Amino acid sequence: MVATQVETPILNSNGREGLFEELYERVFPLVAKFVSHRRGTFQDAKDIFQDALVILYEKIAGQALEVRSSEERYILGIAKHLWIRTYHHDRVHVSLDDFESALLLPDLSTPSLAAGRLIEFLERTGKRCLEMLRAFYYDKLPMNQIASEFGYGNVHSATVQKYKCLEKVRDEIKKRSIAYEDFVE
Amino acid sequence: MKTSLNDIQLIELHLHGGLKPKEAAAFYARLAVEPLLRLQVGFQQKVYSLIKMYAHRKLKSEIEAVHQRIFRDPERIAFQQNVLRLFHA
Repeated sequence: MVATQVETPILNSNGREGLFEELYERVFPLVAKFVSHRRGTFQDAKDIFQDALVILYEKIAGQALEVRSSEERYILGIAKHLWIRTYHHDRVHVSLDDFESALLLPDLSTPSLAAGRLIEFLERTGKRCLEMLRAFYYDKLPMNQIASEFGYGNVHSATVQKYKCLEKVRDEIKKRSIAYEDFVE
Repeated sequence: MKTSLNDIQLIELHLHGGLKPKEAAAFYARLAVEPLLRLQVGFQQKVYSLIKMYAHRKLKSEIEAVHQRIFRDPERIAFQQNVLRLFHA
């Protein structure tokens, strides 16, 4: 499959949904086959595939949306690593080619209880801020796209708002910081 | 921008390696004498990890929604069966 050369916007939530749907249809059966051949369950295949999608997304965030065959290969490679990590006794039964061996698995740490609670609190009191921060720091959308998606007249006012949001979250963390030291479990 | 926001911007550049050498030198000089600024740097690092956790959670729920849609769509019954069959051999 050849990359489409059409000018595409950076992945936003609509683009994400389409991408995940396409990859589900195209790549999930391959991951399911890999997992079922190793006596894994449907749930194992689902967990591994979904984590692989997250890892892929973090890799391509901020880039123009173009799905290529390399993404398929990448997901399968990551899925194999995730399988090995979860069921490491099986390492000998999973053959990795050079491309797959070179892949590095990022750390998928889960938030601590305190961080999880803080996120829930912020979702109730400042969802818009969280969404804006997510769009900038995680989805890596350019500021002009964020300004228009969040309804700011220009990049400057959106940027000021972004820093206000950072300040708001920081102050909340500060307020609670006595209660916990560790942020990530 | 307010001073507090300017500091947030400055800390962000510091953490993400975006300060020019002169600005970095000035920032380190301030860090040496402003314990509060040092604290703010630590808090701001936590803000970035919190944003990542939040985004991560949201992304996972978006992916789960796609999963549910695909596996409940009557028009995709062939796809569903092809996958499910793999696990009932």
